[in-house]
Formats: sequence, structure tokens, C-alpha cells
Amino acid sequence: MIGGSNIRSFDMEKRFLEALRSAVGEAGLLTDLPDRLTYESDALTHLHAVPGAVVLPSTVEQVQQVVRVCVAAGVPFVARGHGTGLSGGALPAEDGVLLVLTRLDRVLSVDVPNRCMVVQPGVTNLEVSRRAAPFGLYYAPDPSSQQVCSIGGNVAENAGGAHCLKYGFTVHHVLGLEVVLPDGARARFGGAVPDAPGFDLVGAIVGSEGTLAVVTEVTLRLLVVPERVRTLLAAFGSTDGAGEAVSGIIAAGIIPAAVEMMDRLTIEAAEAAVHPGFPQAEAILIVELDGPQSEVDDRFQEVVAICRDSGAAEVRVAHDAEERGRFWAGRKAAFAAMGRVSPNYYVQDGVIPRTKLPEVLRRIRALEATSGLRIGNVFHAGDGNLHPLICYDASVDGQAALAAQVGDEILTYCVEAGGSITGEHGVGADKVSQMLKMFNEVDLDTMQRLRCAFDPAGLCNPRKIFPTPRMCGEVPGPYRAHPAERAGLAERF
Amino acid sequence: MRAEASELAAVAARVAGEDAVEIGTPGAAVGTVVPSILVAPRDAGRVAETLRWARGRRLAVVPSGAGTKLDWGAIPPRIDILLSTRRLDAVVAHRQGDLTATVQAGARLVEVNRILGRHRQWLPLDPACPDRATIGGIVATNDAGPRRHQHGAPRDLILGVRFVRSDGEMATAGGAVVKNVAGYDLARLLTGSFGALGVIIEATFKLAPVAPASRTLVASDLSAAEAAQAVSALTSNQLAPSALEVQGPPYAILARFETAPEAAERQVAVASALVRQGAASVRVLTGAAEAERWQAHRDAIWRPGGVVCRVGLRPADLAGFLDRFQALLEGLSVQGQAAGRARVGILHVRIEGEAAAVRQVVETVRQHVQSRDGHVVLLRAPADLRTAVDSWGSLGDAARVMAAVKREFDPEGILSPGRWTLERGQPD
Repeated sequence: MIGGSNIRSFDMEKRFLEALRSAVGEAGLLTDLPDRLTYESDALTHLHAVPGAVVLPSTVEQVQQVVRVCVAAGVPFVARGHGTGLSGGALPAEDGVLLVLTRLDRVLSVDVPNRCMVVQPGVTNLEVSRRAAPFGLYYAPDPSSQQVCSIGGNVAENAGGAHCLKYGFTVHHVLGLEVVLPDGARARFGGAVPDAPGFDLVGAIVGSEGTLAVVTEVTLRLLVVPERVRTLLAAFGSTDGAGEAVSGIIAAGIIPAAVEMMDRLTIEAAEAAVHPGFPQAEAILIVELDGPQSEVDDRFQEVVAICRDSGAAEVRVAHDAEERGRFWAGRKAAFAAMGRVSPNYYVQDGVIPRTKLPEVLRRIRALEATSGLRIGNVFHAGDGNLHPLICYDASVDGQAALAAQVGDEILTYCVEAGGSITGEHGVGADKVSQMLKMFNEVDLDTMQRLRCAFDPAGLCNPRKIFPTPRMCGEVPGPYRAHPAERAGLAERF
Repeated sequence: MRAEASELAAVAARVAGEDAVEIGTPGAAVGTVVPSILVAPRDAGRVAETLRWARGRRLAVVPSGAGTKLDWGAIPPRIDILLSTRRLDAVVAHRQGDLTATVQAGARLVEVNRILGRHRQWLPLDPACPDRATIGGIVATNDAGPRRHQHGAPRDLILGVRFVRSDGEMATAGGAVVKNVAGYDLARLLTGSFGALGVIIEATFKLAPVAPASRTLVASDLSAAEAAQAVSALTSNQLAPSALEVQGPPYAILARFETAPEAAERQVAVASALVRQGAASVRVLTGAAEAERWQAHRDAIWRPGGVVCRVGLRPADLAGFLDRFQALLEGLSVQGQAAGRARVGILHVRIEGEAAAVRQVVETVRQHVQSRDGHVVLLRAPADLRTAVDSWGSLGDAARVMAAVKREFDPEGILSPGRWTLERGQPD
């Protein structure tokens, strides 16, 4: 592969590379093609681009220096954490610098009285909870990749996880940020004190997919480990039955910590990969309740009854943490496990109002029949986040393209049902053209005004999120002030 | 240059509708600023037309709902048009199976929750002026009350927004589902922007089930340190209060448990046991007595008169703050009350007394709180206090970025000009 004729590689100017070298030192700069190739994609491997240079800063000052060097030369820069993103959000710019933040991996403080932790972006998600555990605290967002994904990447994509229904997403757990702005200035927004006066810039940056600033420090909210956690696994003869149970739980006024659904194909795959001992079924639900014992135990009995009433053939209650861990291991392994049943697979991420589940699943089944590709479904059933896993064989001509097309079609179903083209993986480079399914030109122009406010030069992770970049400073829209009007000689009503 | 009110009104009537326009009177003043005209369009299209016209004329437009919080923060020095969305008051959709609702900006929260309550759901916000506050005003100010402890602030509940830009174009962001990361979260950006970035037309929220039962534990006659101890005890993992408030001096802690009746009983029993170890007096309230106590809690801050500030601090700084506040009041012979989210770190303080002493309290409190990374914002204050004390305090590093955001969203600066004091931003 290396040196093959299909690799495009951009040669950066020597002087520019020298400037980067003086910013991060010899040990922080990768210029050789084989080294740069390592970083050509994130976990969405079908999109790849070899970055012009890779830098691995060890300090925030070095991040600032790199950004300043890029700005001075008009070179784009893309921040990357541990590269587990599934939308190509950290896809390098071929003519740009990839800012790899893995060396900023320190936990700066654990503030038990204020229940927060200050970390650098390269700290992994699970490390946060591990460091909080001795104090009876934990970090709630738990994406399936939590053992390896970085907090910086979680912030960029507003990562979710299985426990979002009750606890929200990354944005609900980030209290403050320190960032390097796209002009190289360092700035702090928010912190351990809530509601700093001003616009919610923390809320704007979380989920902006690295396009507004480079995050260099994050203040995270920690929660008290719940007194009681009860988890059950219910097997159903149909996804409709499982969906009915979810509706029943919500209608009873119960907000579980998590409700996850898997269909036959993903159950089989998970079983083959990690042997969680899942029952044979068309659909299984994993339902978890947490909170004070005085609250959880009664409600859990209600959930068991609702599952039975909705036709569950089997309801297994996890008797201890180990059994609960097995349920979750099976669920969290579902993506990777697809490798057991298909040579290649494409993970889609869409959202539907949860009440539209039966309708959308029927459409996906029909699509499976017409496309000839098998589609497994993993579903955060509580919040309507659907992860269809589209199986294909890349060695068969045209199947990869067909899989992508099937993925697009499913997103159309999601939007038509009143949902979204992405619930937690982000738009990145992958879904840029899907944005028009949800938003019109004015909406996209309005969003890009925010981008122009942060990054008027358009160098910070360019060509992501938006199908058409907006030139900052231009005033779009039907109305432009007539020169006479501007001069106060005329007016408009 | 101030536009002539009658001339503006005549044109506004053509733009926004004959029935939508009134000339401003002192009764409509925001602080001491009397708007030239009041415009209340009957539909979103006319809101957009009004903005298009105002932008062409460079008129200062201040968006408004019921007008309950217009004097919070810095007051715009000139208001040509007070643009009310109060006639856009529909509950557009209640998707009860999905626990979401889409509501127009002018709808009153109390009315929205009456409608959602038919399906035992609600938008879990209990802001200031709960009977009059509109959705648009609550979103624009990000105002939340005691239930924020469990449910979060408007920022945490908003899923999508439709708003009119300063150029009259209608834009949407977010969506109608609880989980969605497509595009920038402008709904959050607009929440708490105090009408400076756009005029909110409608918003979609995540809802909560209405709890069948409620109990409130009140521990009273506490010192600042005892109050903070009670807060620690009540945030143990054996309890899940919906609200955890401090109020005083003399200080009391209110912990509310809203859940199934048996669970509420059990929780309040556990809470009593945990708190009783220190506190002099512990009561458990339910029904009318409980409702009255919460009304008194709200009135402690929001009854008419006095100066009201919002204070943000680190939760662990609560005892130090309460002590300092009480000592200040006693030292200066000023009446005052603090009340707010003890665990979140957001309090309101109300101060009454001779103007110079009140000012000294506000300044000292701000100095103390800011030295520990906190903030004090003036909500209700007379003009002379606002002249002496900056309404927002320091905006820190945010000021520079806010100024850039403001320029992009409102290049002509027609929306609530002067609401934010951005020119003081210091670049790094």
C-alpha cells in the first residue's frame, strides 16, 4: 500500500514545516508518509485523506503555536483525539495539519466537594469514571467506545451513549472549556460555577465537531454513583412487541436510565463475539433503572410487569453487577461483533421519535429485501436513536456503494418520521450532503454565521458539517441595503 | 436620533397589522426607558416583516413576551419597538409518547402545562413569575426555578428552535427529537441570549412525567454551616430530590420529593433521619401547606420592591457565601434574603434598604463572589444602582467571542442594542 500510486499526499513547504517543528519540537512532528498514513482516517475508514503534516503537541502553548503557524500560512488544521469517531469528523485535510491531542492526557483536578473534574482532551471517557470512583462519583455519558474514546472527541461530537435518556448527552455534563480559538488565542468559557453571564458558548462548542475551536481542557460534571441499579433483559417474538413495552414504560411515567433494543441479527452477532448468553429472540430489550433503592425497586417491578404484558417470552433480571456487566458487554460489543456475521458493515446513526419505531423498522425490512443487504438494528429505544448495521462484502463490486446508498435511504426514513440524520456520531465529513434533508439554505447559512464568528478564515476543520461553505463577511439573503438607503437618503418599509 | 412615535406607529401598522400597534406609554417602560411603540404581530410572518422594516430603518427592537423580565441585565438605552410575541401562543404539538412538545414563544408556561397535564406530562420549569412568564421569555433568559435541581435549566430541555433573524429571515435549528447532533446547537445559543441574536417564534422541549405525589422536608433555623451540612446530607445517593433549596437568613433548607406516594414517604423519612442529626427543627409538608411554603419561598425574592440579583457560585462555596451575606446585612442594617439552588450553585438575593447601603451590599457580594470565580447579575434594580454597578459584571473571555457572534447574527445591531456590554471585551 505504502507508496502505492493511489495515495495522494500533499507536500508542505519546507519553511512551514520548520515553523511547525519549532512549535512542537522534533518529537512532536510527523512528516514521513508512513507515519502520516497512520492518521488518514478515524473509525469511519472508508473516508481517508493523508494529512500534510501531523503534530502531537504536549502543552496548550504548543497547540496555540501550531494554530498560529497555520493561520499565518493560511493552512487548515484538524483536531483529533483517539480517532474513534464514526462520521469522519477528524478526517484530515490533505493540504492541512492534523493536530493530534493524545499527549494532552492529564487529569488536572478531581474536585469532590463541587463534584467536577478538570481533564485534558486526550483523557479517555472511562478514565474519568475510574478516577472518580474512589469518591463514589462517576461520569454519566458512556458511548460504546468509552474504553478508548477521548473526552476531546466526546466534546466535539456531543457523544451520547446508552444512558442518555435519563442523564442527557455530553453537553449536559460539560461545565466549562478552555479552548484555543482559531486565531491562536486561549480562552475559558464556563467552569465549576454554573450560568456564567453571556451567551452559552460552551453549549455552542460542544457538538460543533471541532469546527469552532480546539478544546484543550474540559471541566466535567460528576454524578453520585446511584444507590441501586436494576437491570433486566427481556426477549420478544417481534420488534413491535419490544417497542410496545418501551411505550408502556414511558406511559407509566418511568424514565429508565437506559432502554436498549437489539434485533435478531445483532443478537446473533453479539452472541458469537462475546457470548453474553442472550436468548434466541426476534428482539431483546435491556432496561436499566437506577437511583435510590426506595425509588427503584417498586418501579422495577412495574417494568417487569409491563414487559410481560407486552408479550415478553422471557424476562431475566441481573442478580449482580457481574450479570449486569454481561448484558452490557453483549450490547456494547454489537457494532464490532458484526464482523462475525459479515465481512464488512456500515454503522448508520439516525434518530426517530420512538413512537415511529414500528413504522421505520418495517421500511428498513423492506429495504433489506429490495437491496439484498442484511441490516441489523441496535436501538437506543428510550431516546429513538437507531443504529442500523448494514452488512456488505467490499470484495463484491458495487456492494460498498450500495451499502452507503442504503444508509442514505434509512436517513431519509428517519427525517420523514420527524427525526434526525444523526443522534450521536455527528455529521462530520460523512453526512455533509444529508444536512439538506433536515435544514434549508437559510438554516445552514444561519449556523455558519456562528462559524464565521469563531473562524472567519475557515481554517478550523474545514469541509465538515456544511454542504456549502459560507464565505464569511458576505451578506446573503434577498435583502441588501441600497446605497441610498445606507446613506440615509431613502428608507424601506 | 429618536424616531417620532406617531410616525413609527403609522408605518408599523402597515407592516405588522392595524391591530398590532400601540404608542409607548410610561406604563410600558423598561426600567426608565419608554419604548416608542409596542408591536404585537398576530403571526410569525408579521414578526419577520416588522424586523425587515426595522432593520432598514435601523430601529432598536427589543423582543418581549409578557414583559416580566425585561429589566434583567443591562437595559437597552433606547427602545424604538418593543416587539411582543404574546399573540403567538399556540401549543403546536404535544407528542406524549415521545415526551416532547413544540410551543410558540408567546404561550404562557402555565397554559402550556395545563395542556400537557392532560397526559400527565409537563415542561418541568418553575421560573420567576410562573403564572405570567411566556416560553419565549423563559428561553431568552434561561430562567429556571427550584426544579432545576432535577430537571435542568431551559438550556438543558430545549431541543429545537425557530426564530426570526435580524434581517427578517426565518431559521430553524435542532429538531423535534430528544437526541440530535445535526448542525450547530443554535437553540442552546439563543437560550439565555436575552433577545440579542434573534426573535424566538417557537421552541421544542423535552418533557417530564408529572409525579403523582409530593412531599417537602423543611429544616429551619440553621446557621450557614448547618445549612451546607444539610445540603451534603441530602445529596446522598439514597435520595433523589426534585428540588433542594436554601433560603434565609435565618437559613432553611427545603428538599422536595416528587415521585410515587410510597416512594415519596420513604424518601422523606430517610431525608428526615439524615438531616435531624444537626437541625433544630424539621417538618414534612404536603398538600396545601406544602404549596404555601413554596409560594413563600418564591415571594421571599420576587415580591414587589427591593433589589434582586442572581448569584452564581461553586456549590462548595455556599456556606462561606451565606455567612458573608448574613454578616453584611447585619452590619449595614439592611433587609435581605437569599434563596436558590443549593447544590447547583445558583441563588437569588433580594436586598432592601437605604440606597447607599444596598449598593454596598451588592458591590461587596460581587467582590466576594467574583474572587472565587462566581458572578452577580443585576435583575431588578433602580436606575441609579445600574449606573453605579455594571449589570452583568465581567463577561471574561466570552466578551470577545460574544461580540463576534453578535456582529454575525445582527450586523446592524438592531436587536436589544445595549443589552450586553460587549465592547469591554479584552482580547487575549
